[in-house]
Amino acid sequence: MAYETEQRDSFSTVNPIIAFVFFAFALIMSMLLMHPVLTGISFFAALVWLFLLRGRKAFGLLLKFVLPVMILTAILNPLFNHGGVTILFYLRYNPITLESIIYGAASALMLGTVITWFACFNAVFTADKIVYLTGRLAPSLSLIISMALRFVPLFTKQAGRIALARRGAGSDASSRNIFKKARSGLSTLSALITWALESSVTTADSMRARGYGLHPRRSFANYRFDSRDAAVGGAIAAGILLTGLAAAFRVFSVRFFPSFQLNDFSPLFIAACAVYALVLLIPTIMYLEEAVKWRLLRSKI
Amino acid sequence: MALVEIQNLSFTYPGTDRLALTGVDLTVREGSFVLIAGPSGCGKSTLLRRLKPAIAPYGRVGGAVFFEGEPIEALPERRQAAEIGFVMQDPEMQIMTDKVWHELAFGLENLGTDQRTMRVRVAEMANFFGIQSWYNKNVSELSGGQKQLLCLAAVMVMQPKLLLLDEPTSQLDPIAAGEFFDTLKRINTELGTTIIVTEHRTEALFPLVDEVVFMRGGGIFYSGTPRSCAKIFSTAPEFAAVLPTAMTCFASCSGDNETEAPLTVREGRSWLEKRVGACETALFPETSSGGKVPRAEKAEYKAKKPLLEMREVYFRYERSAPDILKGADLSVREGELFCIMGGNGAGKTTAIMAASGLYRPYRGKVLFEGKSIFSIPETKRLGETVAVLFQNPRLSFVKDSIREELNAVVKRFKLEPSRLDEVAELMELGPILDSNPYDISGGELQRAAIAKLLLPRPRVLFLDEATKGMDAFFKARFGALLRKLCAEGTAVVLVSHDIEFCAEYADRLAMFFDGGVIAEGTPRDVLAGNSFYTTAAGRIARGILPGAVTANEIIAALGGKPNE
Repeated sequence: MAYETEQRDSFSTVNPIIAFVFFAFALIMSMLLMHPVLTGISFFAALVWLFLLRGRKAFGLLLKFVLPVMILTAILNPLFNHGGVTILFYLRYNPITLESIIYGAASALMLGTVITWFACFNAVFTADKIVYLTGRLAPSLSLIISMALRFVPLFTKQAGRIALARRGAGSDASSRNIFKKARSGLSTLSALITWALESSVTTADSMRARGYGLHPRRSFANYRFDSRDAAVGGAIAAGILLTGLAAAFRVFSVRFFPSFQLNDFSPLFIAACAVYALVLLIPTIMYLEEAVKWRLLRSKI
Repeated sequence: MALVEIQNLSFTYPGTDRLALTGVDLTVREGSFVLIAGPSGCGKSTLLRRLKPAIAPYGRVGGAVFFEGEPIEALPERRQAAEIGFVMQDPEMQIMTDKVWHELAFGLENLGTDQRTMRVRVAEMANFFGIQSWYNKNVSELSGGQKQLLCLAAVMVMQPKLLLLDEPTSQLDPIAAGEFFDTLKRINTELGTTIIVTEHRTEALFPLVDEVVFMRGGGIFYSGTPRSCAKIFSTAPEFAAVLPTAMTCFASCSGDNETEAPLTVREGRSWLEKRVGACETALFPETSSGGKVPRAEKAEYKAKKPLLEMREVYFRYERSAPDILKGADLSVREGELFCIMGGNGAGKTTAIMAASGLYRPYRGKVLFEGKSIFSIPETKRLGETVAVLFQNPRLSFVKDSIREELNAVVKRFKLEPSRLDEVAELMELGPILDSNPYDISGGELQRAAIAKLLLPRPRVLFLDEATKGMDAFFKARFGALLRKLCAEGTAVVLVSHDIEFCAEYADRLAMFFDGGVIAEGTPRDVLAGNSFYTTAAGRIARGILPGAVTANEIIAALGGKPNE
């Protein structure tokens, strides 16, 4: 995995449990809270972090995937959703309303945000971390994931070897005939399955020889829980609590239909937004903090 | 104190009456390093697995095995898992997790060791094996040698008292095998772990172990210190192939029992020096030509038209990838056994891919009978003109029996049915013709796979690492078989790490290094001059009997009787 080497992101090194809670919070809140200001904050935080994580590659991802999805959502919603009281014009006898355009834009923003957060998740959550996380919950599931991560690529490689071996024996002369091709593919698959079953005996022996099946099984934790994890975890927990309270007291309420209505930007609302922004920007803040620290360190040398 | 005590052990696999083990008695002292040698199917692996009940095959057992004085079956599972470690042949299938660290921790996870202890043990072992630098890597990025070291380390984290290894280096190249053996020696001397290993690569192991056990037909035939093994030579000359070269030479032409048998190349050299000095007649026939092939022979060879030729071939797998072949030249004549040798990553396998027209080089020419091999349509080129057998011949079998497999080829190439019997006879397939490909031994499978390729009468047969994992006994048979093939007019190109085998059977050798051929010629031509990259016999004879590269050549020069 290439990004493991290029990654100098501070948040990527916090304990996976904390990181997982953070992502869960960011994703769930982005989906639940449709308030445009909040979605905007979330989108901004996710975007900045994605750029820090992936550098120039983030552009490609945005242009190829995130933007098309957003544009499509924004266009399609008013075409199919005709709710709302403010009719702007008719498109082939179908009313296009202001509310459905606003709702389309808000949904597009929400979808873009969720996708961007997932892109960040993908960059941060390496297979190691997933194995660690599941290991906490269900040790045998974590082992299965780890084995799948090993054997799926191995089998793919082996299939290539079998195909080559068949070609080398002249039994797989590249033919344009689609039926012959399919038959040849089936033979390869059959050889692969036989090989896999046969080799699994070795794997099973190797597992048994090392005591697999004894109870209780415990997963090896490749990650520690240090004071920084506690601090970051505390900050996220506080953020979750405050945002949750604000949401419960309808500070973020928004109405799209029949008419679009936002509540006033009260001081309470602004404070709650600030808290929300601060929590979501934790990875960015940590990244910048580290960058500044290094700059200072270097300037002293 | 005896760690393992085997008393009159016998074993029969279900469904047969043949005893796989008969009356085995063996005592293994704590802290000793024991080598079990013998031909494939002699019961080595069966015996080893009886010492690890968790993976011992089912069957009828007689006699008893004691571990630290207790019957081994009565050991609690937990103790057995931790205290008896087992490493198998194929590292690829033994590793089960995707990360090095996870594999190391696997055994301890199973034992339910607490987090702190796990951390310490894993760190300790990573240090001992020098794994730190690849601790965080994916297993798929490791070399074969590293994978097998990982398997060993993954067993050692549980701190076993007894370490069992079943042909651990059969899938490794000689350099990686050497490193693996050195690690075993370190485990034995620095940690005091008792080790029992079965292995075909005895040359490197003999000087390291305390005791050698020879097995034959399910029983122990001899056991003693490595040095004492010269004795068995007179009673069982077929074991000559298992002994180190120095000892073979010593035993087959020495009547002097007062000197100790030499084990290593160094000891072999000093013995040979004395021997040659002692008898005047011990002049090597070709010493006069300095180990070089007479010129006339060379000219005659040159005059023969090459069947397959590679001229300044450049090849890489992807445009942005580095070149694997960098101007490689090769020429193979009709009916010769041509061996390609070289270290890992020298481009040997890639060379046969390009030479056989499986892959098209981006520069240079591959000629078959003077014309570009790519001018032959692929359906004619692969199979009927050239054929390639890759490592792990099992991969090319899909049918339920060897006969069906061969029949399918006969049909595909529209050959006459009698061709099957012809090839089956040539490759000595008679008894296994109706067996399932997964039920026969590796050597038999190798023969069946070659038979399959031979059916459409290819002019050139490419074999990739065909001698990998073969025991010394079968190797000799395989070598003779290849010679027979060549005599029938097929050119055989063999890629091999096995210098000993190449020296013994090849007509010509090419030594690959860094994507090109750096030396080509007869075995004597190429190997006699090298001081490191040569056979053990070559190293022993260098400067004393110039030109000798096989044990038989040394023996012949000393007036002894060469071994079959």
